[in-house]
Amino acid sequence: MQSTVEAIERATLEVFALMVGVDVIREILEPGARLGPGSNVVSSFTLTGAVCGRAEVFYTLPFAQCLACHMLQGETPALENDVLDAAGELANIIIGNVKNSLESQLGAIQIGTPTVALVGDSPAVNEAVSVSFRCPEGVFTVSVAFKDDSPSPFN
Amino acid sequence: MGFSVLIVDDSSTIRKIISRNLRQSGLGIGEIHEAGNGQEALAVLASQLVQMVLTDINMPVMDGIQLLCAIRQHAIWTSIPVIMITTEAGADAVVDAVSKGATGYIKKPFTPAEIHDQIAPILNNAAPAAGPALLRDSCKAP
Repeated sequence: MQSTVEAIERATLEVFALMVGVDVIREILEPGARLGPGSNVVSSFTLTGAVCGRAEVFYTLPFAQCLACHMLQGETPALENDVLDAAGELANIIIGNVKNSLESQLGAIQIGTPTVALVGDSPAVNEAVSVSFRCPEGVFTVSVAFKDDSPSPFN
Repeated sequence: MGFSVLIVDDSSTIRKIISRNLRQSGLGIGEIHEAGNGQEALAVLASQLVQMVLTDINMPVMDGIQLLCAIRQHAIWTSIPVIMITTEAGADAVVDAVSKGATGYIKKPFTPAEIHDQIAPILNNAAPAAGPALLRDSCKAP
C-alpha cells in the first residue's frame, strides 16, 4: 500500500523531471524548520471525496522565479503574475498526480480550484504530512493534510 | 500554410509550453490560438479557422468536457479533433472523455514526444472542418 509520502515523492520527481527538466532529491528538514524568511509562494488545494483535507506546495519567491524561467526555457517572466502562474501550475500537476495515486487506494477524490498567493513566512514544516525536496535552485515543500475524521494511507 | 491549432488551458505557462512543443514538433503547425477557458475557446472557434483543439479539463467558467460537448454538437466544428491534456488520469475520466468524443488524451506531466505522438497521426488523417452535426448521446442535455 503506497503511503502519502511515497505518492508525493513519486509525483514530484516525475513532474520536475518532465516539466522543469530538473532532478530533485528528498531533503530532510528538522521539525519546525521554515523555508526561509521573506516572501514565499504557496499554492493551496482543498481535497474532498474519499478524503477531506488540504494540499499545499511552498516555494520561496526566488525559487519560484527560477522555476518559471526553466518552464519557459529562458524566457524571463515579465510579471509577478507569470511567476505565480508557473509555480501554481506546477503545484497543480504535482497535487493532481498525488491525488491519482491516493484514489487508487481510497476512492474518488476531488481537488478544488487552486489558489496561489505570496505569503510572509512559510509555516513550520509538519513532519508528519510534509515532504521537502532540494534541487540546484533551492528547497521546496509539498504538504498534504487530512482532517482528523478522514481516512488516510499510512504516512 | 500549416495546421491551425487552438490551445485551451487556464494556465498561461502551460499554453506557452504546449505552443513551444508544437512549434518544435516538425508537424507543420501554422497558426496557434490560445484561450483561458471553454467559453473563450468557443469565441475563437467562431472567428478563426481551427483544425485541432488541445484542451485542459479543469478550468473555470467552462471546463474542457463542456467545451468538448459544445464542439461535438456544432454543425461545423463537430469533426475537429479534440485532445484532452490534463492531470485527470483515472480510467473513468478517460472513458468519459472518449465517450463524449475526445480524439486523444495526454496526461500531465507530459513530454514533447508525447505531444508529437498523439498529434502526428491525427494531423496525417486530418478531415475537412465542415460536416453534418453528430450528436453524442452522452452530450445531450437531460
